[in-house]
Amino acid sequence: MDLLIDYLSRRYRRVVEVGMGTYSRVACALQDLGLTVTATDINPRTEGVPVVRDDLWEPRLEIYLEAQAIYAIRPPPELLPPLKELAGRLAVDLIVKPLAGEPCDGQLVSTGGSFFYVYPAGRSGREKLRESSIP
Amino acid sequence: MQEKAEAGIIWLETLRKEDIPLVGGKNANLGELSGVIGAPVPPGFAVTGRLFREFMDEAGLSDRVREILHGLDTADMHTLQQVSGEIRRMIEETPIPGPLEIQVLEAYDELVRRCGKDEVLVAVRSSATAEDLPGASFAGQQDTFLNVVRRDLLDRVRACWSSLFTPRAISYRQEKGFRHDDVLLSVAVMEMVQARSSGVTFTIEPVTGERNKVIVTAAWGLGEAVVSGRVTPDEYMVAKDSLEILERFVAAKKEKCVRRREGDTAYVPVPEDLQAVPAVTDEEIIRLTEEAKRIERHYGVPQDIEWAIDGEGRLFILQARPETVHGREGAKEVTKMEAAAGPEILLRGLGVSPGQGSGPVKILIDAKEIHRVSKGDVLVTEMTTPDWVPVMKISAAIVTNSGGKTCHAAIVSRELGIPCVVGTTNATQMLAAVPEVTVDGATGLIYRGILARRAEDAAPAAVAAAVAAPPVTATKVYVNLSIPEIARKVAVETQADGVGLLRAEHLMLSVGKHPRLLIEEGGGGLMVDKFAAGIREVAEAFAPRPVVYRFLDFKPDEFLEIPGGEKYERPHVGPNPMIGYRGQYRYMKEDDIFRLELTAIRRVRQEFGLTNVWVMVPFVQALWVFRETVRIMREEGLDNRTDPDFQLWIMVEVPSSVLLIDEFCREGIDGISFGTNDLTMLMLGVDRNDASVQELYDERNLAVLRAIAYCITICRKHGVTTSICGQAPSVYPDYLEFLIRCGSTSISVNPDTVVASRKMVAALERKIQMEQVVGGAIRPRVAKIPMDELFFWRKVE
Repeated sequence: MDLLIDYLSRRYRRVVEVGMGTYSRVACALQDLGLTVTATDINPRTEGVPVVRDDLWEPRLEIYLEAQAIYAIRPPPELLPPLKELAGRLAVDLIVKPLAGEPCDGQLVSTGGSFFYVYPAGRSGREKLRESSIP
Repeated sequence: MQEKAEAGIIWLETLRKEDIPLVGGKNANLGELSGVIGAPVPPGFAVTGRLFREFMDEAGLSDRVREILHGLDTADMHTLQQVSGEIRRMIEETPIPGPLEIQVLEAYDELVRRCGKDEVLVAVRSSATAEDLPGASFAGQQDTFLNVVRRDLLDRVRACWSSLFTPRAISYRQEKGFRHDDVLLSVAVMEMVQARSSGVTFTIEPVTGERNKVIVTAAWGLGEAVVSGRVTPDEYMVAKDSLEILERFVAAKKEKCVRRREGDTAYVPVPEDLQAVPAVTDEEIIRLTEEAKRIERHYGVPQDIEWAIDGEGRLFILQARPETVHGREGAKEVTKMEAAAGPEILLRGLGVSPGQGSGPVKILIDAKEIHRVSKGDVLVTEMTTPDWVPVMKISAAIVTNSGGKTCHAAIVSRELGIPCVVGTTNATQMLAAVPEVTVDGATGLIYRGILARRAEDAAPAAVAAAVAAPPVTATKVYVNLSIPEIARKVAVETQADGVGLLRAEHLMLSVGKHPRLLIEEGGGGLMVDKFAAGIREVAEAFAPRPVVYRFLDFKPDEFLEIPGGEKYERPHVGPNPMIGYRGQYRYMKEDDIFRLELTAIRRVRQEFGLTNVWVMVPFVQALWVFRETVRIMREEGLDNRTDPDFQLWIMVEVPSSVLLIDEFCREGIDGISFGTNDLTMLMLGVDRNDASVQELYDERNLAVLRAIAYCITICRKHGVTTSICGQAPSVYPDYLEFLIRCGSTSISVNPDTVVASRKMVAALERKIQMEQVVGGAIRPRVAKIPMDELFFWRKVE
């Protein structure tokens, strides 16, 4: 997850982790690095990070309005379409770290055996991605 | 950004999506359209929400508004209208403090300079910071003023601001849970396009949700005619890929909206010889489609786009926003009510929001009468405007005299999920003496009397029955699932033939602990309970259709971070976890964990009687390991040889299982499913998670196709079912054709692609059948490779 933490912390100041579940390591690490992190889950059950109850199928947009990017860690593949849709509508980057072997059609970022996928928000997002050096 | 946050005026081309909080969705979108996408947007500027806030605060209006709205019951239509009037008057009659006023007028003067004219007529449009956001498009929620001259500019800006407090806007914010204080109003000031023709383009068929079509609607004059629904526009359906114009409907456009010399707008008759002439040329339709595709590509979701073409043939994009219904939910099967012989059809129109609604007829001529509508009435009117929204929400169905697929009534009713028929011409007269009607928003028919209930009011079983029967296909279309909670919804909405892949990994993640740790803590039973509950939920939702449960396919590195993972997985993390300690090999090495899964399966099948649950073994490499796996299964009472209702499948994702497929068939498997991700990776020796070799990763590589063709052929010989649970068939249509031609018995795809995949399967099967009838002489290809080249083994000897 260090690659993901590094990637997010270098690019964004305000992010939302969608569907946090019970795993809060990335969000906590980002908070420690000074990012404003909000997490959502349909059934909040984690401490250490503010987790807001939200249903990705019917997201409450006010939660996400300030975010520069949203990300999801090991989301079930069924959640990819609503995640992409949410990011598209907010026009923010989406970063997905899927379980290995599960389908994900974003832009692959990998190094040192770690990987995740990025769905950049439009052309400006893609340019940012190209310009940045992958750590 | 800091600078922008402080600004009262920002030029459109410098705005980006991130600026929504400052200038609202409409302005930010215009900025994105012109500055990033390069779409032809008329020049203009945004009066920011901050400037509005300063006006409200400095004039002392904020506190008064808050007091007035406190405790307001929006269901009380009469009070709502009163309160709205009071607030609007306050805003419209309070002068704008001098420094703020100067900022707006100076920006206008700069716009005039930029346009190189003496005077510029502008469109003044509101841009609320919550409007146009996902799930909340609400066409025309705030106001738009056209052909505004300098002396009227400030009044119009104030009128836009006050439109934040129309009854519909107040009621809408309560409904969507926005605080009145949080929603600021920005205003867009743009040069007017002197439109010869205008319209709306949808990058999705707005009624059926088909994403491969673009719908262009067009009428003469200003776009207000189309958006308001007053004029029924021409409508063209264009194929998104080939740009072929598939359907044309040229309406008799008797009126058009034009700018009057006085500066305001009016409807004037269209000369008779022009009424039936298309408002756009074919070339313009293609240009509009291409522009719309570009915009959709940028945003990644279907869009509805307002545009205008001026007298010189120049195209301008005036607004683009997400299409709010299908863009949110994915295409749904359209439910149509059988036009049975019994019910009397009173009227026909254009069905624009599927579903059926019945109720007492309430004919309204003017928005002032909206208090007459009660919950459950069928609202019948000439055409709705944003003022009607509060009563549209409580109506059982909506019928209008005019309008097309993209008019206000159509857009809002789709968003609200209320059946709607538009363009009936004379519903307000025809239904005047009819007490009750039933409206079918899919077929556009209006029947006498109460015949239907709204789908969501019906019992779940009735919902399933009401969903239009999908086309019957010989190739089964299964769905891939990993979240049991959505199984029922997916089963009803997709009408899939079963679950071709139920993943176990997310069940394990939801348990939240490493299974070894659970066992160590004496909590093995918890895992069995959780798994059994999840599998049962899916099996019940789909019964009697099969559910193929794939056993856990742990990769050690993926589970390091759950409690217990570090202790029990770390020793197994090798240099390449994708070909390390995973799949069925683990069942043999740690059979106690495997037996917990088997216990859960047995419980669901035997205790709950859900014998539609079958199993699939992942990452099968060697025969001897497979035999060991089967032995353990039999010890746990799961034996596909003796139980006619139980099937055992294997995943084919390792080259050894391809070359040994005949051996596996002889072991008595009932089915196989290709995992094309791993199969491609291992056939080609390319790590799909390594960006540096992505170019080599190709599911349509000849080697992969040959492997699949070979397996299907052998399996057919042994009567073994074949399926695929990778994404390739839903991404590449020729891949699907290849599988069907090879004789694959099913495919399994993600929930959002089941309906479309089934349609494609049906079409391909028909095509293949027809070829057989007429002796088709084509050489089918996949990824340009002639299919006969795939059956390599036939040429070996």
